[in-house]
Amino acid sequence: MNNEITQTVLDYLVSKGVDAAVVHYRNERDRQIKFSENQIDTNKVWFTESVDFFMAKDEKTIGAGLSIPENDQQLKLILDNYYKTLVKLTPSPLYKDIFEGPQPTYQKLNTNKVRDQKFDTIALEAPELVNGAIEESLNSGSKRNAGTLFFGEIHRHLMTSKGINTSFVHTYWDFNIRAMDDGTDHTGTGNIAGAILSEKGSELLNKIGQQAGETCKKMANAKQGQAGTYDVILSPYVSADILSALPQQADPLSIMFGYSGLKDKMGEQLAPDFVTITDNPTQENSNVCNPFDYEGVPTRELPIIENGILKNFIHNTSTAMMFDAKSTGNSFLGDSGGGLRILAPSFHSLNFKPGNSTLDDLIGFNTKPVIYIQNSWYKRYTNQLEGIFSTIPRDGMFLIKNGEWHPIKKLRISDNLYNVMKNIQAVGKDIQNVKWWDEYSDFYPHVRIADLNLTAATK
Amino acid sequence: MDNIQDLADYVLTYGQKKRVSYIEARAISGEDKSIGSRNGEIFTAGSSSNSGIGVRVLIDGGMGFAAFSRLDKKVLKETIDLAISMAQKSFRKVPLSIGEPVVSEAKWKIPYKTSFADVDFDTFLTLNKEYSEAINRASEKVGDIKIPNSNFFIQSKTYEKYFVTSEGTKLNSHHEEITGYSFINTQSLDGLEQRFMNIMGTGGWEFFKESKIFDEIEKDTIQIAFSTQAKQMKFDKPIDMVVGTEVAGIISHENVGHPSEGDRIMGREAAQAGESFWKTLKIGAKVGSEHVSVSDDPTITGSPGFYKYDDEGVPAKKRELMLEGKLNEALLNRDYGARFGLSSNAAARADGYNREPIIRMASTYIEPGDFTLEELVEDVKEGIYMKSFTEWNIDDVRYQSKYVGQECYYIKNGEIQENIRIKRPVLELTSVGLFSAIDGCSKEVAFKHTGTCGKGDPMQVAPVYLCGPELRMRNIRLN
Repeated sequence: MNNEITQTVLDYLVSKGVDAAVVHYRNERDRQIKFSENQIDTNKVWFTESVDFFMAKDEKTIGAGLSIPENDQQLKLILDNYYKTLVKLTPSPLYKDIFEGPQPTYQKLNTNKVRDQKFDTIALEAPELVNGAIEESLNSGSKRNAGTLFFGEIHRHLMTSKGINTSFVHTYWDFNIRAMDDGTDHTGTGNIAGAILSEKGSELLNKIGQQAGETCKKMANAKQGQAGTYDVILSPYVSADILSALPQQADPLSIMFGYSGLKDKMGEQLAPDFVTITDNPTQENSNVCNPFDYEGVPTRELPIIENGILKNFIHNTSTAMMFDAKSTGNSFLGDSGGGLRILAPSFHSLNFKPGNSTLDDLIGFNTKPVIYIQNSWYKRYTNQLEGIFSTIPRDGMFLIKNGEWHPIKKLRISDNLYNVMKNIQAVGKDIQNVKWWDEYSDFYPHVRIADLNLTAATK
Repeated sequence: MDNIQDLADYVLTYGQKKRVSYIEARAISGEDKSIGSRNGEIFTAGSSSNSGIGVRVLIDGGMGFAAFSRLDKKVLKETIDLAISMAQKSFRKVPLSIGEPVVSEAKWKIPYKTSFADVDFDTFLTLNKEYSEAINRASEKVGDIKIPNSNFFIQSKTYEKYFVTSEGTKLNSHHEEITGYSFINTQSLDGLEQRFMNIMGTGGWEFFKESKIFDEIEKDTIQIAFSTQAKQMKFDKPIDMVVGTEVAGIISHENVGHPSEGDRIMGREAAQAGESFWKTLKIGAKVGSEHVSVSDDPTITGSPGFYKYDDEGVPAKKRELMLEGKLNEALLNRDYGARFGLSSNAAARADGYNREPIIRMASTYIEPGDFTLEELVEDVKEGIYMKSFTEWNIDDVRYQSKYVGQECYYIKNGEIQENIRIKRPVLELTSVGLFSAIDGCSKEVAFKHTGTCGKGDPMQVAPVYLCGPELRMRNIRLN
């Protein structure tokens, strides 16, 4: 840890006479194994140190992310330049204040469940873990496999001009695999995430490899699907992709910038009363775990949609003051490009509360044929405020009719987020920590949706 | 950047000690300036510096990649050692190769007049004023239609890149880049439209004057505002479509550029960005009409994807991806050049020191034809002129595509009916279906549509041109 630089930056900003300052030191040791065609392509190792800071004076604000300067003199020159720029600006429409100490008590987390004690040695075992999962998929019926194993250790140290001085260390990992035959139509997938790779890593990766291989095999001889309106069962991966989209608009920044349609919907019934979705960074053994936000506010599980009703927006101190609310522990020094940082609310990890249904229960919910969708990608909007979107099923899609699974392909989900949420019929009890690429990183179960619109190419 | 160059050179020395078969170092050091505003009010601004070194190493048939931001030898050795150890444990059945040796030595720079490093921050802040004035002018011209949101973000990047390899390549380059966007919501009593417009290029401060970007934003905002008043129209039978240069551009990128990427064709990106429908076809396969040729060219001055050497040191060149409706050339880096039995055609790009170079597009465009727009329209009995799009959507092999129109007009008896706007018509076509339906292209390619292309894991964002002429498609059933 490099606590000295956090203190040096904070002291210097305070000496310049700022009204508020946040300094966040981050030291990341990340590793990734990328594989394709059943072989490892690249082994990547990153060592990244950075200091993010935010300062405010007369409601003018600047945030930035810095590589570690060579010495204090260089650091102070950089900070002087930022300060000179700060005083030339106009007050920010996004800023009111930051959290005022004294420092609160944060959730006590079990170190063994948030930090992999074998992190330093697991990197050399990781190629073997990946090759094992590939083997499981091949044994289960696939011919080609691609994916990534990502894992890392993150040290955070936070100091603010209003009395916060705290730190946290955690590890994360996530694994995804796509299983294919010789062509491109018959594919399966699996992904999983957590905190402690050395604990059951081999077993879990093999299980996901097997799942991907089995789905690939079941997709053999898939037929062109027929466009129409269907009841569907979304796997936890697709649930995370689609059903997190509307809760993620419960963000005051999105509302202020015109990206969110939830501005006037607080208290409205958006989904059936058995649907509850929270933002929750307090779970041990998950890939996302933060006991405090970037202002030092304790994090907590926050209901976004509770019993189907829009219950809360996420907030930091400033947006809470603007919306006549309280901070929800969601302040984040987020990247707005060019190393610049905005102190603004951000989600941690969405959790869809599990229901009581098994997969068989979801299939047998009624006697109608139902389509099972294993994965989806490329969600795009015709209009985000209206919720009109499309996304493409991939890596396993089956028409389930009279208890038989028929593989189908080449359909597109073309619908409206508000309709999809309202049409949730039943929820699985099998919640999973899922993470795939830049698409999602959440906890979601299987979910059954009524009357989803599926389209296909006309030519 | 002497110190960082010394360290990059030391990477090669260190690699030799480790008996690697290939090693390269990419050192980047630079400064960014940024400004972000919401409805004219600045919410973030400033400048920042960043630097680091990325290393690729080939040993015992395995590949390692190491990146570090702290510029000292201890960190350098630790990260490279671990990458080497992991690469040695890959146990590949087929050893990796980097392809035929490449030796390039040059100093080059992005063509520019005034470096952003020489633009003081007060001057940089005037961009927000120009943007706000463009939105205000548009607002005055659209009557009662509201523009409740206008968000603006612009970033300049000035950086030096130093690239050395154990084969003898040594490249010094100076870069000046612009990335940013305008986002607006427009609302009338009839509807609501959103518009995200990229602002991208290479060059210095003169970009903002020469590109007339704020005039473009004003014109575009006016048309998006009027598009809120468009009406839905149903067509019971197939119609003809004429699509504008912006729509042609996204088609060139999504339906041709991406599937032409050699690493997709051979499966390297399968788990995330996906594969390619080219996989089951051969070069020369017919996938469209003879009117369709598509190229990708990193040598277009001022384009967002401009470079003289790619990120493996290969001299840049134009690639002819599709010729007269037939697959012609894949985008290749050194590794996949060798796998295709060819050479690299300089398609390797890395979006920072901390990312491996992978196969990317630069400026993809459909080649021009012989028609004017009026000639394309004149024998359309009934159809739609789709000038711009809102949603685009495509499967991972780039075969099933969907484009939803935004500024769209009814065509009747050979004339665009400018007083009849059509609301959000949906083109949902396969790549072969789409290209086979094209029977004419206009004479002019509009080199002005820009975007960011996402690929790789971790995600890498590449600035690109997506361009083309107007296209006519026959006998299209809308979805």
